[in-house]
Amino acid sequence: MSRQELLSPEGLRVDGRRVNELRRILCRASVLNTADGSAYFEQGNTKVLVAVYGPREPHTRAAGNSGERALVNVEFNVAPFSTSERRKRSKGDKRVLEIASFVRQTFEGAIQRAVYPRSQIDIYVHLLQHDGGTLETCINAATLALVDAGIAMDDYVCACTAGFVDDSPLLDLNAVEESSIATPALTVAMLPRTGNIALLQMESRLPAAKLEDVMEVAVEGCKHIHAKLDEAVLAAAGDLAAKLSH
Amino acid sequence: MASLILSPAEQDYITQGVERGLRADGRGGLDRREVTLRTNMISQANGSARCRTGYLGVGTDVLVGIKAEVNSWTAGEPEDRGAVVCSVECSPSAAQEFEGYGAEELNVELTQLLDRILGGPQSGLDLGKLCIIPKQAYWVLHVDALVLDVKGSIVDTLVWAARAALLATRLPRVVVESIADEDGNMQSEFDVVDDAEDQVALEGAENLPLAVTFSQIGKRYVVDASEQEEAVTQARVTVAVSPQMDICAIQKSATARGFAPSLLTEILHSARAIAREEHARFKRVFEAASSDGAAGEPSTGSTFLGTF
Amino acid sequence: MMDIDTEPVAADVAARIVTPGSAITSDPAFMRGHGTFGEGATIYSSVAGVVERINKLVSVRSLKQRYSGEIGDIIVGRITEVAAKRWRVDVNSRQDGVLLLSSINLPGGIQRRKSESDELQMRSFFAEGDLVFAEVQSYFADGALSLHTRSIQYGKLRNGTFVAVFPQLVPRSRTHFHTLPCGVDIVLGVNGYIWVSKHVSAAKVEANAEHIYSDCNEPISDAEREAIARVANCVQLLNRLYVKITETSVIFAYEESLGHAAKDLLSQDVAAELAHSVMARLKQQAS
Repeated sequence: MSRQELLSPEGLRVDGRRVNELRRILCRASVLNTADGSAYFEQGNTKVLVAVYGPREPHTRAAGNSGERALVNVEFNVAPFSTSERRKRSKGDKRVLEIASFVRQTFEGAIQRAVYPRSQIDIYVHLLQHDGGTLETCINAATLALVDAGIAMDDYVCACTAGFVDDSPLLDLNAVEESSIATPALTVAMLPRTGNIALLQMESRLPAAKLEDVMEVAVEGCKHIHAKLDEAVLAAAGDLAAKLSH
Repeated sequence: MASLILSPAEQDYITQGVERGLRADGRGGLDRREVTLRTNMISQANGSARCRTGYLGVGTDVLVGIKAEVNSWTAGEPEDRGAVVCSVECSPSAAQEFEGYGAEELNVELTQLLDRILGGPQSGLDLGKLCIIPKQAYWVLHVDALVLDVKGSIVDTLVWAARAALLATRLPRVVVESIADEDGNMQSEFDVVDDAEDQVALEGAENLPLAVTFSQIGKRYVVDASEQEEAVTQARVTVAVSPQMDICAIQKSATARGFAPSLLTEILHSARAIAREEHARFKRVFEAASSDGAAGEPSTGSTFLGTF
Repeated sequence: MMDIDTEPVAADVAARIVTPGSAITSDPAFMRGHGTFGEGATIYSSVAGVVERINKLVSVRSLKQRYSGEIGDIIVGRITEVAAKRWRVDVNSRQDGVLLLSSINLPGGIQRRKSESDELQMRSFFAEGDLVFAEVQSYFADGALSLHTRSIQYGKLRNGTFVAVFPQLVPRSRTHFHTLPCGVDIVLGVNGYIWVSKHVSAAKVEANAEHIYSDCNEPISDAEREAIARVANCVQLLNRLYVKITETSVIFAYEESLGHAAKDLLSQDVAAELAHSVMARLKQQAS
């Protein structure tokens, strides 16, 4: 898609948003009742469901498990019906494994693993519908599920994508924008309290001079997402606290 | 099925209960648990449904998405009909042992069973209507199921969810034009109409069956076995019955023993009576699911936001 | 940032709910407890939960979490593995618990037979899948709970059915074994594992001392079976309502449930109705 089509002369994107508008976010914790923690997260048309189990007994007493800190295990499942063209991915699919690995590394940094020695935390991520921002929504949903499970973390981990078209940074890319050669796609995950960047990933070319602008926009997006996640957590927690106080 | 290890005392308690018609949760042998259903939560799919069998938000939980694709006909395939292809995947969220490739065997077993029930004309779907141009192009319906939790009765829940998803499925309209070429042969071309308002339901979807699985425990059998009951089930038979009370598929699984032929006959009788009730229940539940007050709220959200 | 010193200490105040990364206080007088971490002079929360203050200790109680054992806890566990002179026990915590051979009762008459392999003999006491009523006696160096069943009321569970609930709904109390007025016994494991069974009198238990490892159930009548199913369903209902599970709340739920068949208690409509009446009775009792 050409530059012009991604951004109209009036400054409207293909889905009618402005350049610095986040897609609509809908999220809720405690949606799967067997899991220790769970969350459902929607950003625009991208839909992710996460189940968290743990901390629990590690299932393999593998050598290499230091024991002093919890093992974080992530499995990522892409539903065949999630993409506009149906496609069944094998468990060994490189892209699937890569995303699982990014999610794992991100949370290995944010979870206070030393609080749970000799145990394992399992994060099962399901992509139910894909419309861009896969990694970002997986991270946001997983954060909500981990908080729901009561797992100690340094902070929320909030992620957002951003791109660049026509001298304008673009916030929160959908699938059409992501797959377009007219814009690079940058994914940033950060811990809001300190502003520390937990993850930074980009797959295309971006002029070095523009990186700062794009990062800034993405970081702003992360802050908005933090607010949404916090709202969902407070809602679920308030609900439980009220019930418990009877 | 996922292995749950019970103590001998629990196994005996369950078995004795079943033989006396008083199951551990108070149900009688033929009583089924509650079913919660939501449809069309995956807007980019042609149809979708989420079904949960159990109580108070805990139960066997299946999400089915339907994607329709146009396939080019190749020699050897049926010339004048479309196809339905099923695929089942169990998530590790249902059981830790499903991590990695741990669920492969179960996935294959469930996929084949679902295919047997839904994958051909016996399903009741009008496969002829899925043909676009004979010997040229046809619709393939991919029925992809994601199992999020297993608390017994996985097959029955899968079929409920698939049936609901197929009933909720809408295909784009296809316009076929045929023109005679120089030799007087008819050449056909088709065009898929890209209009969300102009879509068609699947012909024959109302004929789709429901499955009733009978689990033998001790000297009796139960329907809609719980996870604990499945741990002591010695033999299992799934019977798929259409709304017209035709038996569309039968499959025996599980392992410790076979069924006495007389018991099997009794089960087939029972299956139709239960299926009749289940089809009536399905209708009520499906209508409520579709008219779910999610008009103001994005329908996707409501699937996962129930109170219980 | 919340200044703890001005927070009222009354128990019924809606205590402040915090989320991961929230700052709680920078007052150097305070010490950090569970659910918190420090950075510089400030104490932050690491979980979503309610701030608690006991004297100078500040902690955050997470609203949902796995069971964390304490010495003296009365629990129900499921044997997951038979090992050399010990059993691994699933106690719904982040690590399996351990039951040592030296921590169980060996009633008179059961001698250690040197000719049999240890493992065979181990299995004659507890095998995989068995449910055990036990007490936490200590911790191992690696943090795993060490259990014991050295009292006559502890040991292998029979004659009933198992229910799992949220551990935080079972308060620690003096007794965890109750005989309900309806004639059903219930064990409320602090770890969220519950056992509902036919009532067997203490006298009978004593009389059967040498059969404590039997896998055989007593004969159970239909009426008893129905009562057990009803109580088990009531416990599940209380769990989903997120109500504390105590002898009292179970009795209230049981009584309110009598207008319905046991199997109907868990259906949406009946459960919603029961929720109202049970909560009303609990409120009434609290006032």
